[in-house]
Amino acid sequence: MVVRLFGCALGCTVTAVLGCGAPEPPEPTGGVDVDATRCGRGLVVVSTDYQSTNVSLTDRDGQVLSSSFISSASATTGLSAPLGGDVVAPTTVTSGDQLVLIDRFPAAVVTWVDVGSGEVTAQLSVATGFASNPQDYLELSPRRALVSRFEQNPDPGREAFDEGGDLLVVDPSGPTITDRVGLSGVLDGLDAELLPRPGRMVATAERVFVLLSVYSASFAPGPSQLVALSREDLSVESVVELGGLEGCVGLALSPDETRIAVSCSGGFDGATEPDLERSGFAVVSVDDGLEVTDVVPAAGLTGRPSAYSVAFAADDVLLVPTFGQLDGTGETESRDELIAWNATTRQHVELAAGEAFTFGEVRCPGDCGDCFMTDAEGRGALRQFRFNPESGTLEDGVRLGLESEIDLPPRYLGGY
Amino acid sequence: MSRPLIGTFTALLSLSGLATPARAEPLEVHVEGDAPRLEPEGRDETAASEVIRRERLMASGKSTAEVLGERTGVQIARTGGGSELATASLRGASSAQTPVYVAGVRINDDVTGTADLSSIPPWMLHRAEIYRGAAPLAADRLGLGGAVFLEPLLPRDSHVGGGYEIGSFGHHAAWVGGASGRGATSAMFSARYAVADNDYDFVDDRGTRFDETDDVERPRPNADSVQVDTWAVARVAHDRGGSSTVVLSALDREQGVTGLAVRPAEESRGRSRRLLAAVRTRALCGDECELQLQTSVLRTTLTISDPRGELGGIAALQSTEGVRLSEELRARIALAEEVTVGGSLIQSFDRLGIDRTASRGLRARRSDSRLGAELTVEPLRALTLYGLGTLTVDATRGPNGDADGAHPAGRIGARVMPTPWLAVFGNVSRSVRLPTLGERYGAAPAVSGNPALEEERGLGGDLGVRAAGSAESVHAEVEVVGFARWAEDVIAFRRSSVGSIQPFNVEQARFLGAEIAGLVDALSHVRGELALTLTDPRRTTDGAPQNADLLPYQARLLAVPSLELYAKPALPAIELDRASLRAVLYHRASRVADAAGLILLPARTTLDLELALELFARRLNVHGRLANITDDRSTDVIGLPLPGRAIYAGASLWL
Repeated sequence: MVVRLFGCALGCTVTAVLGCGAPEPPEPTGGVDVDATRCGRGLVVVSTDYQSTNVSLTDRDGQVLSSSFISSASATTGLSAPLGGDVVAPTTVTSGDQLVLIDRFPAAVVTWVDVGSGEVTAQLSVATGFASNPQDYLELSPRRALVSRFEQNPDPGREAFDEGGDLLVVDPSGPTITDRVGLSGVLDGLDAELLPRPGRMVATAERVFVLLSVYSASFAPGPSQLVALSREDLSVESVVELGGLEGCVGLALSPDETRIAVSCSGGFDGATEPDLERSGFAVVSVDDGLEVTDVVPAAGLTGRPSAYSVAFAADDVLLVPTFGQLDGTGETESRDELIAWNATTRQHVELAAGEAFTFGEVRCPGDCGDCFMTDAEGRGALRQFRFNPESGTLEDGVRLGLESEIDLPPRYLGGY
Repeated sequence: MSRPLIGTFTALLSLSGLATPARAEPLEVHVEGDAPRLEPEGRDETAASEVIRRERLMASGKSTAEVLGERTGVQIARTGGGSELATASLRGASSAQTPVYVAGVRINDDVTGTADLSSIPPWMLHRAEIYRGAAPLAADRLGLGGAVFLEPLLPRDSHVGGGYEIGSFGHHAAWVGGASGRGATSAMFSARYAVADNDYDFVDDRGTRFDETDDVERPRPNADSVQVDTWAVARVAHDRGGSSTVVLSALDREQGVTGLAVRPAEESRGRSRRLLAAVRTRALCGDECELQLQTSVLRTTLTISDPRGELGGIAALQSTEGVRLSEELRARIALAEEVTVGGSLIQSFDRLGIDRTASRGLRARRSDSRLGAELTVEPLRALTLYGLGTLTVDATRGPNGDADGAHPAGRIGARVMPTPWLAVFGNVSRSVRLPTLGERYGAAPAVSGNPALEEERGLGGDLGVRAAGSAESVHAEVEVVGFARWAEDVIAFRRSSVGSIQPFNVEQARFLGAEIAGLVDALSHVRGELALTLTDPRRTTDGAPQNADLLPYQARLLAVPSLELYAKPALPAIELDRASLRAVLYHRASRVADAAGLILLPARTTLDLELALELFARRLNVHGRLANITDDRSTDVIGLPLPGRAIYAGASLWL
């Protein structure tokens, strides 16, 4: 009897070994065939729970074309996952048929994906020996691009280009790292402990603009800065302090390329909530040099910190999300809000409100009248806001479902 | 009774025993290695439990986590070599939900709640008891998945000895020990020094999983460790029955802290120290009554220096200190031949201190009192009924608020033995896990605490069959257990403010599973064992996706068959008492590493070959192990490579 039971157990083992693995994740849904226009091809939607990532592509109206263009399941897992939990798309749309993704921390990898096939064509580690935490990718030409790296290497000199806190110059055709632009020098006159912490980048025909968050190694905040560099030789042309705002992360270039908007959460200095006095957004004229024309403190708007994103719906209309807050039970105490601010009237209106920490990135591709924001509430959606040029206002449009088999909340946006 | 009074009473009992060593009692029941394994030997015969004896714990270069991981219901997660964090979970419960006791003292920390098994090398362990799903009254926490008890060796007679072990990746360990026993009094002291480079090769994909051309194989940097482990144990048998036992254990380990291997930390170091002291006195209060008092102190410190900020934190130096003082009074009385009652009163005080450079630290404390009672009734010779109830009242104090709560838990169980070779047992239990001080008050600058956290609750049950039988030269045993458990208000971290995450009671989960353990011993030379665990761990949180609800890092299948060839006696001419060669196959099915089910960790299959020789009346033991012969390079935790193929050998001599 017992021997028979043992035999049965052995049989169960064999059966179980064959059928008890984890289920295979959904297959990628492939690339898309969309013609590029002035408004781009559409949106790159990055959905993540900060453990894994799924990237969807939509058309220009926010309709999903490929629900899982690439994801953390697109290759086998080894020492690391194919895509980690901290992936973003560049601020500026990359030209051609390549879509770029930045796997920030700890991977520090830039990935090029073919839009038509969904195949990865190249990857480049920009770690150079440490977790450099790349933030943005800016294509300047087919043979030259910049990667901003947030972290500073405390022990540089062991690899080429391993200083960090810089802009790496990359040849995407390799891809290879060809040079770097250090940015520590632009903080002269500030506390020597502060590091530049480069983040988002945009470019005009002549210049490249880099947003520096400015934190010390222990994350004591300093006044954030905007740096303008020559597009030609990447020399620093001018630097401007953003009205004392701290923790600045969001960056957008106006459609007419005369203004830059920056959103700032406020700095953290050992606290969980940022300093609201140093939170808000700023508008910088980039017509000639750099001049801060508006500084709008968050305390005077919704009373909640500005979030990590900002976008121009028109040359004089800004969209800025703000952070909400949860109470001790996990329920929303303060709601996320999306506000529209008019640079001419200096007035703002609330466009949308939602559960805390559900509003993500906002983008208005190519001055084409539509703005989009990721909304992680419920099953996750894109929120579409249509700009009415006659009234100068935005209308709360539809909530567009992402129709993905993969259930991850949308957080970031890009273009392609 | 107040804590000082209990402490004094404990000390007096101990002293009285020391002063009047009279009637000797057996100090240790030493069971040879080939006895049937599935006979219930634990503290609670209605529970699904298993005892691992010293013979299994002593395989060369094998960590406590690896030994436990070969048993049904246990999943381990190692983060590297033998000196790096290793945790165990039972029946899908997290490590924080699985209390682990060393010499009766719970070693789970009060930061994350985990118990680091790497800090308990098996060389001084006498036995390990695994309670799946249900913990006995001896546990001060009825863990959601069960509990693990690790018991140290106790002194038996006078002898001195030592041993040495060498292995791959710079592993060296040497120990010396001595014991002295006269009459009813005995004591032993032992110390072990171990070093390891842990510089095993791993494939560094540089984070570019889509591009294999840049993959390189390189040695793991900064994973070396130096560890000193000392134990002192004394026992005194009292003249009217009972005994007093004193256990002192100190661990000091200095090691590299590697961080994630894709961006390894090369300068970060950690130093961990643990001091454990326990005095346990057992006294008889009549023929059918037993009292037990235990006073214990556990102090752990962990200091991590990260001068280059390689670990992604923001502190160049962080020091964590946890102190737990516990007083326990237990009583057990046989009211009648068929009825036994037991009770326990436990008072514990915990203190947690975290200091770090450049940001605010933490000071928090907890006081908890637990009252427990158990009742065992045997209305029929073949039927045992068991009931256990506990009420824990805890109060925590920290920087951002106080929290108090009462937490009832309990279990009812039964065992039926219709024939001497068959037992059917089952349990229904309600268990809780109290939030740690780190969860309530914040363990890191970007991790806020939440004083409003409630307990995690589990409701579960199991039903099992255990059978054993012999026919001529074959002995076989089998145990089959099915279980189900629902967990509510499970703590998970969510973003709560702009710059931090915070724990909330937001998750729910459901676990279904089956455990099959089997053993066949044939012809006195062949022994086959099987440990098979099937688990279906699902997240049932409202709004959780239906198509990707498997809990991360939980395998649905674990299978560990082993085959041992042994001879006993082997070669009397050279006084070779026992020789054995054992092959252990470990298979863990593929798992998901993320909540969305996108990151698939491949299955892990390893084969170990273990050789053990016992000579000269077992005074000399020689052992060797070929570990991971299949050279499986899969990982327990993503980003943290495990050693590949390795070889270990060692010998110990007792005179």
